Amino acid sequence: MTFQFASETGFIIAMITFIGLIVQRKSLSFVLESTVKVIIGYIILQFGANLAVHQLTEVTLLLERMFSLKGIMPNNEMIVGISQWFYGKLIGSIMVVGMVLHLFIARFTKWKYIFLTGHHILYMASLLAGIMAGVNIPFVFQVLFGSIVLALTMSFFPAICQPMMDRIMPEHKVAIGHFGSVGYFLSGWLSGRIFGRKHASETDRHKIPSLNILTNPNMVIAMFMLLFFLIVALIAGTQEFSNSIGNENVFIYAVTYSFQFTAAVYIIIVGVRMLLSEVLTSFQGIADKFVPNAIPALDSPMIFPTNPTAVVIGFSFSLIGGLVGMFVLIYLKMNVVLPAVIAHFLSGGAAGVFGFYSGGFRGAALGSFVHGLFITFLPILLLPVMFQLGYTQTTFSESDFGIVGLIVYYVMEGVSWLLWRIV
Amino acid sequence: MGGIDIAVVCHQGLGSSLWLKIQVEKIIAKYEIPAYVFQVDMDGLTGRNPDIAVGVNYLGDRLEKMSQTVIVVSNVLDDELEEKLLDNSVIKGIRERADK
Repeated sequence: MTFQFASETGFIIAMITFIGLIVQRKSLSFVLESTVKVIIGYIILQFGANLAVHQLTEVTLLLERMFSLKGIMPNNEMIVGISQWFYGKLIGSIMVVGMVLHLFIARFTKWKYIFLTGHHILYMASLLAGIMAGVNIPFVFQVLFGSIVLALTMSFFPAICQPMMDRIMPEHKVAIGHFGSVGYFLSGWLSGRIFGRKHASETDRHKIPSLNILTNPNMVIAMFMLLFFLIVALIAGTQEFSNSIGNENVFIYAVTYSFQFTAAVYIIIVGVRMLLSEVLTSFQGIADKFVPNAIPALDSPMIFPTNPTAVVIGFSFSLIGGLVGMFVLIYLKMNVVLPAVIAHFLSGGAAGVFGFYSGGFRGAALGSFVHGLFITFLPILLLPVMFQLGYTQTTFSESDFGIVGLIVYYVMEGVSWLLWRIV
Repeated sequence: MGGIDIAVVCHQGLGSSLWLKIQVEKIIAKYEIPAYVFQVDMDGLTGRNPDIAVGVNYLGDRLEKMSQTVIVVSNVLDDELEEKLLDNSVIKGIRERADK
């Protein structure tokens, strides 16, 4: 693997950070420190991706050898890390141009949202780059189309959730900026349709459930992976399992791989944080001056304190939906999508809150269950769309990535088909 | 530079903590408090021991043990954050020294 960072996301974002901080007249030492941090963050991200691929291959190979199943493991961090090897330059360009266009949308239209969930901007840019790279048009147009779509998604998805958000946090002017919006909308809409809003005033009589373990993603991923390996061993028989991994001890193997897997994802997250922290702070600073009456669109856990019980219901039923979906896929002998536990918490939890405010606790359960099914079946459709990346057996875990990916892919297919006819 | 360290904490140290960081930076600029604000997740906080850790209440009581002083807000949007920051003993100390 090579680090050609001069032309890639890290370098582009480092330059933007540098210019942004100079314009804000920060001290020279702060500017240098932040710029170096961005580049190192990017390199960390790449190292993490390198490790992650190794772990991922191990999981999917295991499924294939033991049960002849093709496994897909949706994980945003992994797919984004891997995308950097192929389209670093395209991702960085789409991201930066897209953020600028997004500011113009907020300034000049009625969609006043400023999307501040930086890692999701990076993830969406990676998805769009992955699709645009497969379209046979010049680089400039790939960036142009990609960034227009990115800017639109950053404004559109907060907008569709806003009527429900106004019910969830009526005393604040705030939007949800998280690319699980289609899932939340679906959850809220279904739950409102079926149960009606009269239950939405059910008070949270129970003691606030402790979210302690759930708030540690490392713990959640490690335990989930460990459980996964042990269940595989149980179904296949430990002797079988042990043979297929070269006569290693099954338990030691399971512990080693689940912890290495968790570490790889964590490394990518640390990289992403170092890469984006300063850029997003400057972005918000600019938006503050450039867009009057801007509405911040924030990450999904922002709404968790409004009803923690709904979050726990949302996580549980979304995960159940994911498991049911997985068994259906096994039964149909299709590609098997393993549940993305972190997405079931961050998005499923929010889907639970949306469901609750439309139809009470039963609505929260139903809405998030459907959400869980939804984010299990979408990756199957999305996988073939991701040019060159399909073989890696990982993809985006949240709903909007699937929806946007499919729409953009088929529209671009149509456009290039038309171009070939005309030219 | 003689400033204090303020950690803003959330689930992955990516999303909600960014908004907290923006808010905290605004407040420390307003009151001219010398501080360095950084985003972090729970596990990343281990061993950092910042002067103040700021987080949202859904993180539970795990935050309590991680720092000298902890500020837990129930909502990232209220004025609660500003009040609690100014009420923090470390911040009070640094502002009193600055006044002299």
